[in-house]
Amino acid sequence: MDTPELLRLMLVALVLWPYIYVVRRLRPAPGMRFLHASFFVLCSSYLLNVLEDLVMKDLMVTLLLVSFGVAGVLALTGVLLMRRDARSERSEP
Amino acid sequence: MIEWIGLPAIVIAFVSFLGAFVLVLATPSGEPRRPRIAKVLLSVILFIYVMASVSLFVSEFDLEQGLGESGEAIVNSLEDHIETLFPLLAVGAVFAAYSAQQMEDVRRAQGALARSHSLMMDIVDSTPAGVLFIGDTGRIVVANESAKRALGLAEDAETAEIRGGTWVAEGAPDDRPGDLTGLLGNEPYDGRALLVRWPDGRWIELMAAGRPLLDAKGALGGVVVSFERPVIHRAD
Repeated sequence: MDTPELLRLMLVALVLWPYIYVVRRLRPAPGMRFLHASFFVLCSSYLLNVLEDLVMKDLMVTLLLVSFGVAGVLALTGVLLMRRDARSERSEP
Repeated sequence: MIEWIGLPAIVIAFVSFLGAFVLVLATPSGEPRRPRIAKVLLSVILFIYVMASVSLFVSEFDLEQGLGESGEAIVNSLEDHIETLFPLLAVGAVFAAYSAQQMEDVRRAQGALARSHSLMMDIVDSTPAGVLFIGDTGRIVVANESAKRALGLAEDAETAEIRGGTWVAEGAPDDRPGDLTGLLGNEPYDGRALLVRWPDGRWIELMAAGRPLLDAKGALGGVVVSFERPVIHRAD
């Protein structure tokens, strides 16, 4: 493992930590929770992106693409839920 | 395996990220739940993932050749930028979301506090007993409706300052009107009598109970005083 890959792994760890912290500490609203989950999956996909160069390239690439698909669906669901919450908040007297 | 699992997955990713990006752009910012900075960061990060999906699709399914040299260069440089920007943007998005949540919590807490304060003031105002908060200088800072009626006080609509005390109370330094220094004290008390006289000769006797408010160092910050409705005595 060369230095850039190590650096990328460290960055992934740096990014994953606040997600875990934020989601556990703040118990966000459902929409925001889906968005956090989406970015959490994306952070993990970043890890797969690093591993892709090291082991089982085919499997890692497939997992990477699948994780992108899952993250996309989670992000879209999160945004839709946030819009629904915002709309229901506006309609409250 | 890449073709029959990866291809639909990356197409779903592209469509979903694009949809989310368009929806975020179409949603007005400035809502408490989503301040402008969070919207910008979210839009940027979703846009990057739209591009990342395209880039992954092109690179993993070996479509670079079809794009020509410049197209391949664009995809490669895009991948580099995505890898560089991703962690920073992700951290930014997390802390924007964190800040938005904090602001929302503060707003909720302020709302709850305001409602609680309003309820307490309604209770205090509706009680027949006079309730005052006297600052450490002897001036009245807060008075409920009964206290205002009994002592002829009025509240300034703009500054909420209590005014109108033309009477002089026992213990007021230099017979200063509207001063209740005589009710200050570092110890709680019940049934303390205090004479209050108006310039026209009217007078009342307050039978007061007081609870001092001390700061962390034990210094007196003021006294909360309550008294029963007093009888007004005429000069003659």
